[in-house]
Amino acid sequence: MSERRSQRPICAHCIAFLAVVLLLGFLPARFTSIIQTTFLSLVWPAQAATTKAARGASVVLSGFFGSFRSREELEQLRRQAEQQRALITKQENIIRRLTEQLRQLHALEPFIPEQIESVVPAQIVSVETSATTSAVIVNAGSRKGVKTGSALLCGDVAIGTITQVGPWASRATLLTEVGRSIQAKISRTGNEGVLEGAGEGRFVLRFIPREADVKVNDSVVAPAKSKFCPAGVAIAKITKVHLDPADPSYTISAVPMVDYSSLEDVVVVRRGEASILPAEGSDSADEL
Amino acid sequence: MKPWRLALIIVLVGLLQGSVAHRLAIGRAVPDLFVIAAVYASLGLRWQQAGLAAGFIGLGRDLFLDHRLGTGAVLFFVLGAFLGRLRTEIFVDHPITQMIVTLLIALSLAAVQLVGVLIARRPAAFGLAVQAGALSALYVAAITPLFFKLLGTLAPLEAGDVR
Repeated sequence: MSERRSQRPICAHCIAFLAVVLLLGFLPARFTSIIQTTFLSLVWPAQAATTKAARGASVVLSGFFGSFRSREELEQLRRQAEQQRALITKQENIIRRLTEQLRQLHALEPFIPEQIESVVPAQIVSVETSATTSAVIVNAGSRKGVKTGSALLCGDVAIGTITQVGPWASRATLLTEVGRSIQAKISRTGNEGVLEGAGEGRFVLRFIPREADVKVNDSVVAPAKSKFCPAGVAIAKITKVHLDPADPSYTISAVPMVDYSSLEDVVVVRRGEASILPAEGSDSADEL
Repeated sequence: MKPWRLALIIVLVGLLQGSVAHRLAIGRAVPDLFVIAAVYASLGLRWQQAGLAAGFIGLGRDLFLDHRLGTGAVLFFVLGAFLGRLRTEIFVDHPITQMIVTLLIALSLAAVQLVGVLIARRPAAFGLAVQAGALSALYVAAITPLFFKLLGTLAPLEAGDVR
């Protein structure tokens, strides 16, 4: 009898709990988003510390297991490192040349539309992956000027879009999330198509006409009319090209330009409306 | 179980899920540590308490993982209450039992997630969700005894709670 009586408050708690969570379930998405982003902002310092610790442990463990690698493997890694170094030097030269060309262009044409409204540096605090979702939390929120719809870049590669913004932290959905699609173009040929997330760090590029000259290792970039990130920003690299005889367009597999599993420092970039550049010689023109 | 211990489990599991789970992923199998925590709490409590504890863990999962708020909470509440009822019928201390129970719960959650994918009309995600759900359930079941030990050290169930 007394046990039954003692269980009554717990039953009442159960009913109250279910009532509250059902109420939460029926709240408009705007309110639940506020609750989630506020919670996110509260836990991000702890989350950032845990992620840093996990990253450190991962480095230590890989160093420990790396010491057992055979000489051949180490030699192979050394060769790969040399190749990468050469590649970086080559890309640095290209960047230098392009910067010079851009400067010359600015001198010729002072009316180039401004594409970037704001750039906010941030760090990845945590990664959320499941069968159907791929998202990251970054330690920059509305207090730093982050807005929903901004692009998330790692270096000069677009990796996602900001979907939820809290005061101190934001959640970004990665471009590889299943079902996500954005406009993209093949950098070399200029052909535009739709880049779909296929999960597990993969993309599928569709609607590239069969007449197009597509090659493996071609880079996929944001087109000029991209709504979420500045034109020309790299997104993916083509890994496989398939053309069905009955299909009017290619089915192209691609992978991100950067490894999403090792993301650390990122920038949140907001694309602005087209505006006129200030005259040459002003501070803003130099910044660009 | 004292509320602060439950809160400790939720926060700890949330932090680990965000920072470690993707590093532990093997191909498509990503461990869902919230499932293990819910099974751990449910197998040691009476059904009402088990339901509440699992419900709060589900709510934590919704908050940490950007799921529709309340869905995980209700789902975990039901599964927790069911496990709380079941625990007197099975030998919950045996690792194999823990693994089988976790596997079944993870598979049930994967099935519910598939329904969500169907409702959201994301056909591209369906095949992937089936494979990933099954593989993740197996993975979660495999690491259950280890996490039970870890949770047992950090937030042991009290004598009054158990059995």
